[in-house]
Amino acid sequence: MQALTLAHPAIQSGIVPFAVSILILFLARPLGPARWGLAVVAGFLVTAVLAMGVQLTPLTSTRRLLILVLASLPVGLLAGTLGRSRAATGLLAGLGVAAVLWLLYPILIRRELLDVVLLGGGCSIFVGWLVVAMDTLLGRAGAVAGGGTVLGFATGISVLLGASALLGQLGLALGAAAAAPALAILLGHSIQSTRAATFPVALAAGLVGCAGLVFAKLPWFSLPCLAAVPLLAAVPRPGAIPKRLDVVWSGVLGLVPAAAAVLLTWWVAGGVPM
Amino acid sequence: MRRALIAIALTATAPVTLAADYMLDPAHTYPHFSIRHFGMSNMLGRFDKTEGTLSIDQEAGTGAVEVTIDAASINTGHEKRDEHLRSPDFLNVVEFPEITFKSTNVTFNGQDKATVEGDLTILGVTKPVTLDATSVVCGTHPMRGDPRCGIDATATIKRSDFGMTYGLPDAIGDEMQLIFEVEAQPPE
Repeated sequence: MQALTLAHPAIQSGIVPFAVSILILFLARPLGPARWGLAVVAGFLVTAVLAMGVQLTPLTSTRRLLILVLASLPVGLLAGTLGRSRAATGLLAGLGVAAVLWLLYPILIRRELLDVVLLGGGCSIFVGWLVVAMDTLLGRAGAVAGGGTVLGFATGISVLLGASALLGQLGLALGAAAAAPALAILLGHSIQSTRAATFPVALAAGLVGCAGLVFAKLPWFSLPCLAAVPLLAAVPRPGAIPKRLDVVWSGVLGLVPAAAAVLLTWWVAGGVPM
Repeated sequence: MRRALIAIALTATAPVTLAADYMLDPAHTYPHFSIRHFGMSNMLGRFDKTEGTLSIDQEAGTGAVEVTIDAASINTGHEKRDEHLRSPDFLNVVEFPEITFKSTNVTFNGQDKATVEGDLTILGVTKPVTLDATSVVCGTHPMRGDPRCGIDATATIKRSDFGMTYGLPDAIGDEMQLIFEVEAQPPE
């Protein structure tokens, strides 16, 4: 058995991103709500550095994905100043689609038109939808935290089963990093959810899922299941459930499509590629 | 006795030196690799689809070789592992479908050995690599009667030089031994 060092995938994509995220949440209090997104993005990227190193050339799809997730933080921060409107949500969804096209263009330009429409269009709809769905959770910190955590873990496990351990690790890192604010909320800490959190979570999960579909063997029908996670996380909490348990309520509801995504992927792709 | 001599003449590859251009025979050209797995064993694999050209003049001591390997044709005898090796973790075949080698200098060491310097491109990264050709045999094919060349060559590379860093340092080794079995025939 591989020693439990920083080289171990479970440490890289579980313990480390969670620890980084929770440290930032508590040490970066002066940053206010922005620290949520910073914590998630930092946790995600630390895993990427541990698993891949810091090399950025050649600019492969996976490295473009990391750049996009890094860029999503300032974009989310700026988008937070726009207020809640359909135009702002649409703008973010458009940026999500642009991110997909930048991620996939080296592949799409070599493919037949039908593939371009199916892969490019399908991934654009998936990422655009996730951005919109997570944006609608704004104002419900528990739902953002619970839904984001489940979305990250489900994406990671599905992609891991779909034959890319690296992309799987990135998805799991997203889940672990998103679990830190979820735990904080569960313990009674008050953190406001802003687009600095929702946009990076939605974009990272969406791009990892798309990359799993295009570059590995993630079955296409796992994506609609993953897309349903924020939809179910948005179901209002019954009045009898305390507000701080919103994270559990949303997380448990999100687990239903998340489990479907994982099971369908397992059914088609089989076990972990080790 | 006469029949036996004819039989020997038909089945033996006559070692003659030929200056010619050849196409690699995909049925007898396979790049193999060997890499450490969790420090426990050497995992072996090969690429099933390879094409390319070979020019060789043993008398003049010159030659050139270009090889294009279909990265998705990797075969380690275990489909799930092969899918993993095709993924962005390792070969990223959707984005980088080809591995190529193009010689830049061939130096013969005697009649049947050579050092082949060239550029190897994996994952879009090109690095100089030197192949040690331990056997270079050109002659007439005993069954078909056409000229043929066969080469056995090896090289050792570090996959991290090509940006393939997943699983380093403990899970999958950095050093890879490449073993080429090559046969080439005249263009049809």
